[in-house]
Amino acid sequence: MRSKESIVVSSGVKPKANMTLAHKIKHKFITRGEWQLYLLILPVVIYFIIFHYAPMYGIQIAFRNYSITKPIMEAKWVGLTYFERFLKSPMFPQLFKNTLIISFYDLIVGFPFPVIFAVVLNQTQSKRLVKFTQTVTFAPYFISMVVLVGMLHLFLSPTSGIVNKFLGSIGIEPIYFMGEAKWFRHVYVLSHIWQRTGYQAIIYFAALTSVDPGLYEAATIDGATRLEKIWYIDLPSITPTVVTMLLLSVGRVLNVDTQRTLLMQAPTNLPTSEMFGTYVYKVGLINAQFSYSTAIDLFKTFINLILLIVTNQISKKLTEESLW
Amino acid sequence: MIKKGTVAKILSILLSCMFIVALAGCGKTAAPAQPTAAPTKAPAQQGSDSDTKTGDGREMVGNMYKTGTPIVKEPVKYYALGLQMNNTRPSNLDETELFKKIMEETNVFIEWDLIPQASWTEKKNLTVASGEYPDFFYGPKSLSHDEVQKFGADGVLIDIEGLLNEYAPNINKIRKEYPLYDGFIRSMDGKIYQLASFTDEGFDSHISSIINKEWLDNLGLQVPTNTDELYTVLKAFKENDPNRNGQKDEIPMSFLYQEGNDLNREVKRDFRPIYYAFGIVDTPSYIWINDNDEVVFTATTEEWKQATAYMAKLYAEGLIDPEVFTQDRTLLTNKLRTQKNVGVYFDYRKDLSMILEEDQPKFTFIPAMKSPSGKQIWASAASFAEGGFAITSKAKNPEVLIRFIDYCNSEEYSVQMAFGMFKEAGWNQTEALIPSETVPGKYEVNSGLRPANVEPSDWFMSAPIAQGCTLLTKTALDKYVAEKASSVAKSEACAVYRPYLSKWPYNYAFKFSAEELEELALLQTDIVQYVIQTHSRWMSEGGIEKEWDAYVAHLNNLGVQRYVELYKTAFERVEK
Amino acid sequence: MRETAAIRKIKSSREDVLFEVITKVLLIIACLIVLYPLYFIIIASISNPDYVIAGKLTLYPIDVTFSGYRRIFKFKNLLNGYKNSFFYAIVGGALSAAFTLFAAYPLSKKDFSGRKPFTIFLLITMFFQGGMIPLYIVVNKLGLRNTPYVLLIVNGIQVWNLLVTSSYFKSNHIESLSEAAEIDGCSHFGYFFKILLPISKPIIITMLLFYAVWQWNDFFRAMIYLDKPDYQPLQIVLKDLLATAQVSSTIYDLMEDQEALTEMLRAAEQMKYGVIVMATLPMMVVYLIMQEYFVQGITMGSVKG
Repeated sequence: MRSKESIVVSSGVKPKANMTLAHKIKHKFITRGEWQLYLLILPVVIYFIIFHYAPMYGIQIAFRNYSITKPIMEAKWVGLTYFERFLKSPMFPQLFKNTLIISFYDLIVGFPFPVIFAVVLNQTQSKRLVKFTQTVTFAPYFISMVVLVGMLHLFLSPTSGIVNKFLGSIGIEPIYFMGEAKWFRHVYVLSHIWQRTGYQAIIYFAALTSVDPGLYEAATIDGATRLEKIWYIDLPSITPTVVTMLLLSVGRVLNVDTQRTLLMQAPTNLPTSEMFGTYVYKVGLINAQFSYSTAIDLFKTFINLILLIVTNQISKKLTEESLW
Repeated sequence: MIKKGTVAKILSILLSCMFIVALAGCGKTAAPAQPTAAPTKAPAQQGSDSDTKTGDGREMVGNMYKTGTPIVKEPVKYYALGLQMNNTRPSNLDETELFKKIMEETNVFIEWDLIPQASWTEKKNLTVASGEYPDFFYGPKSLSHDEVQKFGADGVLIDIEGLLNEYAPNINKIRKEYPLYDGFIRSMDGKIYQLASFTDEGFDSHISSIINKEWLDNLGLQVPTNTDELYTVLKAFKENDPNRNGQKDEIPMSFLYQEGNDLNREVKRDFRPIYYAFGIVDTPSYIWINDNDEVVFTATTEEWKQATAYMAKLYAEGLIDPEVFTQDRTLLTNKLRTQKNVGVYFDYRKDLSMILEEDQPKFTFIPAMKSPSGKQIWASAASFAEGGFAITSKAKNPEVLIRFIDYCNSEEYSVQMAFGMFKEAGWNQTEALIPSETVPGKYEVNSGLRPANVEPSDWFMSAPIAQGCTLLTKTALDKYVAEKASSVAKSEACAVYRPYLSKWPYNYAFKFSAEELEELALLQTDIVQYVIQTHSRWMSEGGIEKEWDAYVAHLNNLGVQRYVELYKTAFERVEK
Repeated sequence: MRETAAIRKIKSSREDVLFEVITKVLLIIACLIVLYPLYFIIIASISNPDYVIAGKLTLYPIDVTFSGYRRIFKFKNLLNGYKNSFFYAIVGGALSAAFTLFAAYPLSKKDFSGRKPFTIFLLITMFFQGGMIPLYIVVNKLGLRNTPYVLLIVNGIQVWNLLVTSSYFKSNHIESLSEAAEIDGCSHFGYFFKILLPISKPIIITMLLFYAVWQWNDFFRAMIYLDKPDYQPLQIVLKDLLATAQVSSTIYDLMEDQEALTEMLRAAEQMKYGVIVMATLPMMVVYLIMQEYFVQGITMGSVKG
């Protein structure tokens, strides 16, 4: 199979051991065609430089006493003042605990669902069922947060909600789901899972559909059961994707959705529902302090980063897959 | 030996650095200005600001006449940014008939850009941060007091007191008529950077307690006058089936514990009247200026404790709607209008508008109640809305804008800005003031005359109504407008509470410096959130007696002394 | 004694049937759990909201009225919103997906000298952002505000998608192909465009879908960068629509007409649900079409075993 546009020198040309570095670079870059790879990635790099790296000087806001009436560079440098203030705040332990618990709950419980769902979906022979299920489970992703939380209030109301009516019919007292502190996390995570499982399963499903059917045939001939086929063919084929998704999720684990939390908060569930984001929002309502909120964001990022580095290393050892 | 891949790394870092330096440098220079006041032709006079340049009999200053209309000789254009409240139309005030008329008359043309509530905060911050702010901000609560102060102190807004004194006769008259007005709009540094809007219909309190009179009659009970009687009535509502449908489906008392749409939750605590009965005025910040002019933290007082214990007792016995902590106004309204199963509720709108018109005769106001310990008190409320009009440093010839806003606030115009233009009888194309049939010489608001085939959403507004910087005095109001039916109801409600009004309004506008505000924001968030958490827990689960001391101690740890001190300083700075 | 092939076949087909039944049951349960709230939204959008709010709506619409939809359709900017959103979803989705795929390929090659540095370069942006204000200033200076391009570009490439695509390219069966192609003397470009992409249909479709859906759903950027209505996407238009219908306290104060007030309250509630239906349906149709491409067993052709 020869490509007509083949520019490369015939294979087998290896850099000689006594080539200089410049030669090595040239060899790889030009003769082996690596410049093509650089070219492919170039537009994306330029995009990130302009729209992500250029604005990055704004991170300084966390270290300066910034007010919107003056440019960032003119704001007074205060170093770690805001970080200290936050860490010393009497609210900090509660915020940290709540944010941490919900994030990990969401991650640990929520992560397997799309994977399992995709695997199960891939198993069924009925094409119609696949199509129907996929379409239906895709839809929740589009429901706006306001309506979703509105429906939660409706369904879970202690006086008029269908869930409590059902519980009542089997003899259980009505539960104030949206009001009680101990239910907040469960409602939050479960509704989150409900909303995004179908959508997130798409990527795993895509990986599964690219498995060579020849492998299945070979396995059948070898007498493998369905479960064995899943274990030895399906799962390995989506492992790189699963690991990548997992690592990326760890990398943003503490970034709990503030808007969603605010919508679901009630005075009585504040002990479990007050997170970094909602707290910062409330402070900001009184005094729009960008510096404080940026500092808290950086703190969250720092923790996320550490978690990611650790998990990445573990993943490297266990699965040979990693982000870098 | 340079490692592999280092070249790419270095290159990207270099490029990034270049960009950072380039843009960081840009941060210092002023961003390009928006097209602002651009006199389309050069002023006819030899331009300078000295007085006594005459042109057709009136004194001029540059392009502007000091009195009368038009305000300027050559037309000028300004650009304004404002907050568009939900459910108001149109979004561009320059399209309303009233402003078109005013702009023609004055020769001052304004392009309004109204931003919806949902994105207002971000938009406002971005325009200021990027240096592209408008010539003036417009509309009630566009800017908070703190923003006005900060922007003013940092030169984004200009001091308008001198200009007001010289060029704004209408507004100056109003300032004299309302001695509290100046204090309200003045910032901490003593300067005036804003105008506040208000519509004075004589409503001096912001909440009422309302009870279902029909149920009382069915049970042979009287309107309660104190908290013990209220308890008895609520219990009777719960047990004795006052709506006579054979089921105990009544909700004795319901209200909104917190309110806000979408993400703008404000803890309004509509059940405040209970606290008034115990002699304490509970406020969103838990700071109150009592009748002895002392600044008090309400949530640690004995009165507050008793009131909270009372609420807990009610809740424990099922006399309060269990959903009060999470329900929104839509749900409460539904309970009142459709399900019709609520006995007592509180509304900050002072009238009965949450009830269907046909049911309103069945409800009545509960006067200010007493409690065993407290004296009867009711919170008075101030009705100025800050941030109504603030001129920025970008505006050329700000005196023109001052004359403009003054012109809009003559008695005749301020009434029309608030309710709609004067039109002939039978006019039903837009909101308008049409000649009253009952009170000759006055007008009435015609929104009751929307034709049946016109959808409410197509009912076009001809004037800014809720969005204007309107200073509508009671004198002007009474001069032109016959009292609306709903106003009558509101007035009645206010009359019920007037004898007990507190000296200071519960929404008194404290003014803080930027440093004080920074400190305050953290203290306030921590303290208020803690009280809310604890209060709602005590109400729903009890425990106030056991936990009170620990609660007070914790509040001290959170800095409640300093919190009160900050408010005290702010108060005494102005009032003493 | 070893099982005969026939017995093994019977056993496995019995096992197959059982498996299939369990699978079907699980999926149907999943569908039902998801379906009810969706169904609820649809019937709530045409029912009298007084009953919806009171919790009386369960399986059937009550007191059917289409006034919510009527009001939505009357909104003058609605068509424009759809038009713009389709533009962003299709053009934006295609552009973003294309550049993502281009960049993911080099990142997936183990021996690419820029692999580690670029990956780190990208990951850093996932963690460190300068914030809204500096980005706004940059976008402003580039003159992108209030243009049809700003939504195509800002956040147009997402690191998450890049890395997921890259990991897809890395998976086993694709590695062996690439080695074979290299031996045959194929250039990177050639390999990428002629071999890799054609067999990567699932990930291409997925990326197109992810970016298109994201463009379709997102409203925050439009809120910040598009003041004028010309280029506003559907989500903003619908948000505006809901905002104009919402009964705020000022309106309560101003309205004399109680009947109109009641109707406004009702319409506002109904529209909340109707808006979801209007926003979601087009994407569902798109998705149905796209599913055709998730076909099992994309053949590999050249590499076997």
